[in-house]
Amino acid sequence: MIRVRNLSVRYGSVEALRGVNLDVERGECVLITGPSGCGKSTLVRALTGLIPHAIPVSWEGEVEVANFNVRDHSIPETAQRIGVVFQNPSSQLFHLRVEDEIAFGPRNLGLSADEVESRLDWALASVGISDLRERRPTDLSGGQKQRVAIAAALAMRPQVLVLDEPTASLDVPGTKQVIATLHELRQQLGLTIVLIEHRLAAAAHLADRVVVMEAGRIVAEGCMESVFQDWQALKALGLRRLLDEPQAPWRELLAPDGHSTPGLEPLLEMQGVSAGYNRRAVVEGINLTLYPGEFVALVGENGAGKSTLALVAAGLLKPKRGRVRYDGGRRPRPGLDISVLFQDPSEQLFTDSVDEEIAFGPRNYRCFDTRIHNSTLVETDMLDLRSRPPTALSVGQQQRTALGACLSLRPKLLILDEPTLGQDWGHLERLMDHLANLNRQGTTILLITHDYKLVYRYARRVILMKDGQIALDGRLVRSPNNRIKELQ
Amino acid sequence: MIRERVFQNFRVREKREPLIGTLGHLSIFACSLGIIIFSPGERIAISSALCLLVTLWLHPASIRRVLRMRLLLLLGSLILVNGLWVGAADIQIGEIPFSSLGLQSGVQMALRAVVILMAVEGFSSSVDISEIAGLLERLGLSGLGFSIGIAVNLLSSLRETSANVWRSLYMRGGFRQQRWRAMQLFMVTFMANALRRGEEITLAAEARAYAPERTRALPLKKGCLDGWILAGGFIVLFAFFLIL
Repeated sequence: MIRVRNLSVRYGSVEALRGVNLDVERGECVLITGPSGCGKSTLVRALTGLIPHAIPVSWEGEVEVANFNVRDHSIPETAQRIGVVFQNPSSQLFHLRVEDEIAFGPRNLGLSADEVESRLDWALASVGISDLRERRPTDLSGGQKQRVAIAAALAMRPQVLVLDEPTASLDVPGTKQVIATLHELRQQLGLTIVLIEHRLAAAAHLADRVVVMEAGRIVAEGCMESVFQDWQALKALGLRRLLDEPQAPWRELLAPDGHSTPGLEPLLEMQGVSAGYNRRAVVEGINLTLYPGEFVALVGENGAGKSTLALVAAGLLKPKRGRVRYDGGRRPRPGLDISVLFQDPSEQLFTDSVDEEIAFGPRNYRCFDTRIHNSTLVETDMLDLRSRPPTALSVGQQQRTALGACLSLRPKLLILDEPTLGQDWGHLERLMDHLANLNRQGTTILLITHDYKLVYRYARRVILMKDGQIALDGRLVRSPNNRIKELQ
Repeated sequence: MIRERVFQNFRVREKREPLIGTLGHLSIFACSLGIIIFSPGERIAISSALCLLVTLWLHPASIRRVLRMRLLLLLGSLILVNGLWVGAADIQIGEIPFSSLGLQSGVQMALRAVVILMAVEGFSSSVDISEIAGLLERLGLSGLGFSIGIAVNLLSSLRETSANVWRSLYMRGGFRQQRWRAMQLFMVTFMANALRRGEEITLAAEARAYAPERTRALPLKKGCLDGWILAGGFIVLFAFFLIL
């Protein structure tokens, strides 16, 4: 169904793909994985014809989908053979109603109103979202948005569906919804699926074959068992074992432990805090105390109120009710006392070089110290890249630069709001090991994440949020069905 | 092939057409506006009563728009101002002299305002923005529905981006020193993210074969009575202009 021969793609001087050869049979599901920046997304763009038709790059080789050379045909022609679902649902849904979103592709093909209607009904039914037909895409949950995106791709009646990390920003229920939908589609329609994923456990039972990429090449290929046999090699590429990601709700993985105060003055206290946006309370009645030197994980499903709670804790959102007390009642200085590392590094990088980025905060506060500056560059492993513009770095390097910018002010409390998006385990592990080191030196860390392995490995206290309230304050236990073995 | 068979065997659900569709609502709206705007002063009572009855029957909730205290005060003062200052005072209410001509003119203005407000409320509550975009696309503004959708979805995402960019800057001292430089950095980062988001949307749209010159207009909701309402609207307008 898919035949890729000697595909090489180059963005300016950067070689994104180097002589890739790939064959996918009709009805097969292939999982493509590899570290950040290994060329997975470039391969998706080449398969869908976006490269070279919409993204001008230097390209060599051949890509055929259903005996159809994508290089020789326009994107609309290719779109009828291969449907694509991107990582970020909000960037691919741009209509005011789900039905208009799904009918968008067929209307672009100039089909008759009856044909559009028929494809719309079929796509909605195939993905099991007929009840969402008249809803606004912006009002849907992450899992529902991705299912709408899948239905929108299906409405083009493609023979191949390509999904570029469709579960990256989803919680466990959202991920399960998407994977179950893909499973159904395979069984009912015999669709050929190419799935790009970092979270292997979620996709493992769906895929017939796994392809591992590194630096623009395919380095391993085969069934799950055979590829994962050479665990050390995969670990070096920053991949996780399937056991690392239990697909169970947090409630089943946590136990209350009667969290005891370590005999210190609290660093941050929240008493009866309610907060939200536009008169709508997102978190309500929050009572939470953080102590110096704690490493706390804040977990829960999408929309549970984790990020809102983090903004209140950082003094970036004023509570509607209740009291937030920092260090005995002192007003926290932004960045110096409490700092926040947000999810998307591109929204946190402002200047023309890594050096300038890390020095910006201390210079702004007139507390720049060359010794601390250099040590931050070393700690974040950015010393060799100090003169590079942040926009020219990989996502992992950008995230480390943003972290360096936070750490250069030596905050007492560091809040990390989902730092895992689009990052492979290798990058994450280095970043988190460094944070664990800082934590041992006294920095309090509040980590917001969906990532089980991060919580298991680093957090000593776990707070579960549900529907805007703290549902549980405890610690992680092994999953009841013994799926999780000792993690490294 | 399995999937071909599945698609061919799929039965499209049977849909029940609503009584009034986009065209019907548009006809009622246009007819109400036409009648109330062009109706002469002496016919305003009967024309506004007719318009209000139709609007209330079709969209009972539209009365809420008029029953707001602020609007009632505004309409009251419109009548009062006209009664006090337009035309010569010829009647007294209490101790205050009023012009009957002014009061009459004020009431007419207030009635026209109420009908227009209720017609707009009724139309906007029954026809959504996609259908309006579909109407305008048929008038030659191709790609308008897509643009409106992007604007609505992108605005909320850009608001979030700008908030995040500002929060990140604030966490590094904000505009404390080098204010102009910090402002520039904020703007550049925000714009760069907006362009990136725009590029992502463009790619997603291209992957679904989007081209403004080729795409079909957004559909309009069809109603069983649309044709009758359109014809009725013409007759009523004709009657008002020519017969009455």
